[in-house]
Amino acid sequence: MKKISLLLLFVSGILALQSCKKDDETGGGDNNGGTPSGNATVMFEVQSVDENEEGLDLGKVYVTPTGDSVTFDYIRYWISNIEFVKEDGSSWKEEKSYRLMEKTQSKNREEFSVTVPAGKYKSLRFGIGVDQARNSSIDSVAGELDVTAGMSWTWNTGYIFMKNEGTFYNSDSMAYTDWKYHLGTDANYKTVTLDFPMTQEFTDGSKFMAHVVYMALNIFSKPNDMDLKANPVLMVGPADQTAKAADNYAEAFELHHFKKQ
Amino acid sequence: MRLTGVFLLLILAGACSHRPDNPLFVFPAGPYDSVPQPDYNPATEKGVALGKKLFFDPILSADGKVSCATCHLPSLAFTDGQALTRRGVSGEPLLRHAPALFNLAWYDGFFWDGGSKNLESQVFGPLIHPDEMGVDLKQLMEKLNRHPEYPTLFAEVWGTDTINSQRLARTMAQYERTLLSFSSPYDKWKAGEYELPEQALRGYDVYRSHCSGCHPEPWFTDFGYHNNAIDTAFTNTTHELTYFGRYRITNDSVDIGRYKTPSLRNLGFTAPYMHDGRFADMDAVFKHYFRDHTANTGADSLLKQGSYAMTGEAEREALYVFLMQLNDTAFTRNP
Repeated sequence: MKKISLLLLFVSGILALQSCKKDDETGGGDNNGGTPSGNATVMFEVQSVDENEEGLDLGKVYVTPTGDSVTFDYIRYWISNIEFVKEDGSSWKEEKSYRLMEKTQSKNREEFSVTVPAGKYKSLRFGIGVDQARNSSIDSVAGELDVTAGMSWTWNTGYIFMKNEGTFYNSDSMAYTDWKYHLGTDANYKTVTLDFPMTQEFTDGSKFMAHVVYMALNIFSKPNDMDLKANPVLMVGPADQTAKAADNYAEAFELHHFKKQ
Repeated sequence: MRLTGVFLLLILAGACSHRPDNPLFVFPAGPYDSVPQPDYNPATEKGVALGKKLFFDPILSADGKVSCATCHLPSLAFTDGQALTRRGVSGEPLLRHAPALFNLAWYDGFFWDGGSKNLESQVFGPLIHPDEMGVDLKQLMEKLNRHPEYPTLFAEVWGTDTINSQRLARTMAQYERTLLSFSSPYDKWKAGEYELPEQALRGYDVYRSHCSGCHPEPWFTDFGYHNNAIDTAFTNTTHELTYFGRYRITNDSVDIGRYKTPSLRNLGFTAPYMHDGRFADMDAVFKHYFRDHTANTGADSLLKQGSYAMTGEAEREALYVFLMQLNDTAFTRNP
């Protein structure tokens, strides 16, 4: 993966900070110049990483903060409803914004691009999973959302938001046994907001790189310690356990860097 | 009435918009003179016809041998006469009884525990279940899109010949909402077109005293979920808590052992009974209900009210005669 400095500094960004503090796009925006026109492109790289922010290796044994030795067979989850938040708090939201992130033995899909209207933005926001409006029926087809993705429950209508499986060392059986976290349900739809280091001006034709890391091991421990031996399989429920795991993955995303290309 | 080949007029309730020139389904005036349907999937004549074709087409299964109708036979009110059928692609028995399919448009939960929230979502359950139709949905879409006939038929319904999961599900749901059963002798009696036999009238009184709490007219179901005390212990936690009834959907302990109330319509076609088909006939059903359930702490309170010791064989027989007046042969012969 690319190693790039956290700070992104470019002239237009500085100009943006200087020229428009707040509120310049609220209340009609009839100052001068009007609304910027055109579109920028934001390339996303959303990478599953280990605790050292190195790319996660499927099948490799990692030790969680709670002392469990675990492996991952695969990770699949939805990134949905991508938004770019402006300085005034308003935002631009992508339509039909559903993308399936996959890290499996046969597929590594963690990159995509979003076309965003020109403007000055301060942060990025997205959901993990599928919002309630579409989660009430699995016949939705929007963006990449489709029941054929194998990320839904037919017996309990709804999409699987985060699906990952692997093995862990079970001290009872003294062997590696399976864990399966298939997480979803409306209560566990999480929104992640990642602030840019500084306000960014998206001009027509400009390109940006957003490198987002997903710290996959955090699902076991941050902020909630999960007991793999007691609950190796989470599937729809138990609700108290899935809520803890969902809180964990909601806090597992970080903006490694956001840089103009 | 019913779908005698021609669709009738569908008068929609306020919340459900529908194009007024659309095909309709025939059924009598009364408390059920409209068919609810989601405004994003209003039935059309061509949609219903295509949904029906799909329902009976084994192309939807992994081995090309099992259709929806394999386990949902029209002649048996869309059941298959088996307790736990083995007619799926694997030959393995299912864990629950194939339910009857009629008057589905009024339900807000499907499967015995109501876990599926709408017909458009329910469609995928049997399609992908390894012991039912066992199909890979991606492969199925590819197969349907390559089919010599289906792309054209879908284009007539959806305006595009690209078949996707959504169009498949919505098409089938349109057909399933047309499975209306309101033409039994009971319905004709209510409409003043038929006189119930004396014994059936007595049976109607028995029904109202003992059954209507969970099986109210005119649907003969309250669309709810009840623990009817057929199980006393819940210890089998396998299969994602399948044996715990609705609890596995709600995670609420009050729902342990609760299952959806089936309609009493068409009982003459839908044996065996209960969510697992454990009762072979109505005698077995009566033997279960007509006893004191107060010892079963999980039993629904409706079961505990009053004495359930029936006064006699004559009342049971009368009840049976009445219930058979709910058999809708017009429906089973020509759904």
